[in-house]
Amino acid sequence: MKTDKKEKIVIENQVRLSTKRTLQISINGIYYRLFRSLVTVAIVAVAVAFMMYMLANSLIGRAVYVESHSNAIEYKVYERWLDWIGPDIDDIDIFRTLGSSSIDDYRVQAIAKWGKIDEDTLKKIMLSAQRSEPYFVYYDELSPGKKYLMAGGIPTGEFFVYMADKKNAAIFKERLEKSGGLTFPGSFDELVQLSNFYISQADIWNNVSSGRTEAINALKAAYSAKSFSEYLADPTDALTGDFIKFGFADSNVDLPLIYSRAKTAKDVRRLNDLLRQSNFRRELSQEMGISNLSLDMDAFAKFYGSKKNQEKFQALVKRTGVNFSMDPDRIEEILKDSQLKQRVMEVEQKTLAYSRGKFGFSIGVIWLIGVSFIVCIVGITNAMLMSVMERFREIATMKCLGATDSLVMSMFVFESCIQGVVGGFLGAILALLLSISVAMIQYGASVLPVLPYDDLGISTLIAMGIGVVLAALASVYPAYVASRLAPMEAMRLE
Amino acid sequence: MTNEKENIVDSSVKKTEEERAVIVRTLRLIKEYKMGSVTTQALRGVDMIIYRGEMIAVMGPSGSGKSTFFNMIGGLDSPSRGRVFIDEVDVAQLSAVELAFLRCHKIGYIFQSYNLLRYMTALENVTAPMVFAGVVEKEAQERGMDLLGLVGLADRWHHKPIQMSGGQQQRVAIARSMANNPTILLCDEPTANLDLKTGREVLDVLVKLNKERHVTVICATHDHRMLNICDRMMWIRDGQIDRIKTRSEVNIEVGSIDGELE
Repeated sequence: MKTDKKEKIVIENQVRLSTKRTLQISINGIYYRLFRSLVTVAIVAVAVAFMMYMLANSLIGRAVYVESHSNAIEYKVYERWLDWIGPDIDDIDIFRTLGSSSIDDYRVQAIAKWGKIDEDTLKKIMLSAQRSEPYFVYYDELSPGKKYLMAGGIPTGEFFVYMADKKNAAIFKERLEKSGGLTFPGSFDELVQLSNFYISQADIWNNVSSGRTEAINALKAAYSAKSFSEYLADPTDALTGDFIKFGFADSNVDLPLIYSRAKTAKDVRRLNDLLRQSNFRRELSQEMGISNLSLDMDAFAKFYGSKKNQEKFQALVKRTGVNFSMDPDRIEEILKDSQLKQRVMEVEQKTLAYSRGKFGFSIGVIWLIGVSFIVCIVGITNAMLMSVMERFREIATMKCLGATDSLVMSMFVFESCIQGVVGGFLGAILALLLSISVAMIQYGASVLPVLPYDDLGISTLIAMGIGVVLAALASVYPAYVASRLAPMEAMRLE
Repeated sequence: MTNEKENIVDSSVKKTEEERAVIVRTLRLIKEYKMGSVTTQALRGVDMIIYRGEMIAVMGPSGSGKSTFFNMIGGLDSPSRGRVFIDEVDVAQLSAVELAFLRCHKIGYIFQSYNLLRYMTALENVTAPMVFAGVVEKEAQERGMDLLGLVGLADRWHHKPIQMSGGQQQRVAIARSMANNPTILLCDEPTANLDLKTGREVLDVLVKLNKERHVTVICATHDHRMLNICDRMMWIRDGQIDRIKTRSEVNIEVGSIDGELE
């Protein structure tokens, strides 16, 4: 019998491996189970990518909305201004204009002049109008069903007149209380009070209305019976002076921009008229090689893109003898402009969901982000739980071979952190690239400089962080339980 | 410990191996498993003494509690009541890190299902306990190759468990169990999953280790070939020790107990 076998068994503490060695063992472990680890990493990546995509998509949507909205305003300036000088302005529009403008705005000044309102009254009315604005917005945003239920479906313009009626107001109040969840801006009493105030100023509204009509008539008299838009396309200094004189503009209004938009609108109209002439239309569609029906501005713009086709078009104009003359470059310019305008309006419409509410996202978008977050949590937790629980036998075996509880724990923490970091990083980057590509497809390549890179960077870090923390949390607990069990108990659990 | 039990144990060995030291001693070992409201007793008060350097077979039908007994003395599971002493050290008193030390350095385990780490090569499996013991890599690999040579698998060192036969896997497991030169080798049905020939090879290795390295081998087994190899045999039935016999006693009675073993 060997002497060493006769020695008494002396029990010591098992050695503690250094962090470096433990990390090395963990990395070896990942290497040994490379395929299984990759599956776990992939699941983590997909979960993080899903959430990140939703987040990035919303952030990009919001940024694109802000950009396209401000661009769209430039295009809308002309139409809005034309509205102000047009016949469709009614009393409530005047009231709301007072509520949303400052006192030195030319419109407010004009209203004061037309309505012969003294300064104190004007200030009083403006204050009430400002307080009323949230109620208009509130009613405006109600669904058609709610509008019908609460106020008989009347349009926003008639809301205050409707509410000034006691019977109507009582019904509205009852329905409002029943509907519960709706967020009402302010109090019902204030709404009624403001409605009554609005009704009580009927004399002023009448004065404003007649004063405005007089001013328009005076303008019309000076510029014969032709529509303003014709004059706008070819303006004179006198016209500008008259607009200011009659209260339809001041030096703050960008009249040159309005004139240039009016000119473009006129040229577009002329081109449109040309394309509608049946003879010319037939000839042109043959030339373009498309059916008569599918010839529109878009198709024409595409056709007009090449120099060769431009010559063809000019030749066709000459041959058919239609009454149309426009510089070829000008045609190209207005086609481009109308396409750009269409594009901006489209993009604004598309991204409308990212324009309101908390963080600039609509309720629907917030729900989507929330759901993607939950999917991410469930996905990662499940992946990590699976990858730990299927290794209980392995844990038991390692403990039989002398691995300490803390070594087993550290191994799993390291491993899941590595998997979480890699998966989170891959997922976040993947989602980022995907969402940018989708944005480029959806809104065009011109979206690139508009992207909110700061926000995207922060959300990438957040998504990665969530991936790592969740991966670590979801694996640490089962690993902790397994490492503290006696080996045979761990094996039985499997 | 009752005198009666001690007498049984003593009478079987004392005459021939009087000066032998005790390596494992169990005292009124009880293990209960709770399944909902039902409590099953797998061990019902086992008193047992195992001597240093002997080769002992723990036999009994399935469900008799022999695997449970095996796990208790290996420190793989904790008893509900009673005590296990390994060389007079109470296993229940050991802390988690001391238990890890015990499992790493003093006891080698061999399982029916081998329990090799399936992602690692044969050599990596053998060196795993050395890694846990903090042995430097180079030394671990040298010793690992020696151990693989001992079980006749030096040329298969780079193979994964899945590329090896059952017998070879079990031999790798034996090499692994010897990694840190343990005093006790615990084998839970080491040959149950193997055919006759490979089972024979595994048993040969165990005998070799017992004879040459004087390792105490404790085997839970069904294998009747153990009869010819082991110094003593212990039968467990219904969670209690049925009887303990030395090899010479068994050889005489072999006709009468054969049926019981199969």
